[in-house]
This record gives sequence, structure tokens and C-alpha cells, in this order.
Amino acid sequence: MNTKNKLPILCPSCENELRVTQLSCEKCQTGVSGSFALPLLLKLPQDELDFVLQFFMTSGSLKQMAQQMNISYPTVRNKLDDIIERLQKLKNE
Amino acid sequence: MNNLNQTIMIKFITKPFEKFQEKQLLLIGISTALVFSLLQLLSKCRQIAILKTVETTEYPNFFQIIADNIISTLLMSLVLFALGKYINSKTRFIDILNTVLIARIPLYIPILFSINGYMNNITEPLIEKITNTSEFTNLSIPLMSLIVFTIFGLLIVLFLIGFGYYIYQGFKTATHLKKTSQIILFILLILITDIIPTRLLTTLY
Repeated sequence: MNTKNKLPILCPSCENELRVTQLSCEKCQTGVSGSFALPLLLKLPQDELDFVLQFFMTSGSLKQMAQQMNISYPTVRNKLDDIIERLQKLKNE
Repeated sequence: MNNLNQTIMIKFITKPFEKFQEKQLLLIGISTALVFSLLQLLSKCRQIAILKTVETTEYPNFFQIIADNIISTLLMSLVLFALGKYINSKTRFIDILNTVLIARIPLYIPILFSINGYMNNITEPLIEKITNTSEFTNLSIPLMSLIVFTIFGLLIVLFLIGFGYYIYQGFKTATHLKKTSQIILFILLILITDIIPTRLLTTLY
């Protein structure tokens, strides 16, 4: 069975932000160690990340998104505004 | 499956502004207003403001009913749109208009009680008796009238709560309302705006 693991962004123990400390090549097993911050978009919860992806795939058409998601246009716009607000906060941290 | 359908159904009723597209809401709002406007032809009442229905001695004509409806709906929509623009510049007029149209639906229902002056026939003798009786102990009110009067009063409160709920839900969705100070301003503006047509419509025609 092919399961897609969700990328954890917060520590399950203390809920602090997680950082990337190791990356490896699947082909030659070369590993890179260090302390890298997650890209800004990856710091979003999965549902908001999916929303951003859908926004991108519909070329930013909120009307099209509203029809696809079966919700009203202002609800989509409000969700986008919430994500923008969250990203701005994350950016300033 | 039945439970899922029920949940979706409940969401459509409790959160119509999140679930329905603007054209659907507009269609529901206008068609409901038209149906109740036609029913109002059979009643002895006029809705001279969104929150004010008055019993009349004669049947209202279609022009009066439609004009009452359009003036009070447009006035409330324009005022709330101005507030919406102040709160959030992305607010659209169609969302505010839909909010007012849908929120009015519970307040149309009391029109049914005024068909053929039914409510008038109960309340008028009751009020006359109360005003003409000098001593409160001598007051003899028919039990049936009292029961109908009480039920009607409770239903009106329920419909007003329904109006408050829908207008808040709709405005919140349309403007992304969050701050308490904005909510207070919103409530005050509704109450103040609704006084204007009561003065205007009773003197104009």
C-alpha cells in the first residue's frame, strides 16, 4: 500500500517549530546535515497548503475555486485573506 | 449516507452564505420576496420597514407592497454596504444585498397571520378591552385569544432571532467581520437604518 506521509511542521512534544536537519539522496545515499528552516509555504497546515495549490492551479480565479469547492465566493476570499495574514505573520517571525 | 445528507442539508440552512453561490442566493431571496408580496395582497398589513409590520384596516395594493419591499431592502443594503466597504474594501454589493434578502425571509412569515385580517380581528378587541377597562381585575379576555396572542408573540421573537442570525452570518461572510467594535457598529446601524423607512414610507404614499 502506498501511503503519503504528512510532513510534520510542529514538534509533537513541545509544539515548537521543526527544522530540517538532514537531507539525503535516494539514489546514492549521500546525506547532507545542517539546520535548515522550512520554506514559508511548507509552514502552513496541510488544508491551507492544499488551498494555495488549488489557487495556483486555477490561475488565481476565486470564482472557479468557489465552484470547484462548492462554497461561496466570499468564503473562498476570506480563507485566502486568512492564509495571507498567517503567511505575513510567519514571515515577520 | 442519510446522516451525511442531513449534515449537508443542515449546513445549507444554517450557513447559506457559505454554501450557496451568489446567483442562487439572489434567486431564493427575490422569489421568496415575490411570493410573500403576492400573499400580502390577501393580508391587512404593511411591512413599512424590515423590522416593522403594521396592521392596516384595508388591503394594501401591489404598488405599496413592492415599493415598501424595495425601499427598505435597498436602504438597508446600501447602508450595510458602506459599512462593509469600511471594514473590508473587497466587500461586494451583491453579497450584502443577498444577506438582506435572505435575512428578511423569517420576517415575511408573520404576513401569513394577517391574511384576511386574522390577527387584527384578535388583537383589536383585546386592545380595546384593555384600554376601556378601568380596573385590571374586571378584565375578561377570552382564553383562546390569549393563547393565540401569546403564541404569535413568541413566534415573532423567534422570527426576529432568525433575522438577527442570518443578517449577522451573511454580513460576517461578506465582509470577514472579526472585531467586536465592528459588530456593535453593525447592530447599531441596522437599528438606526430601520427607523428611516418607517418615517418615510408612512408619509410618502
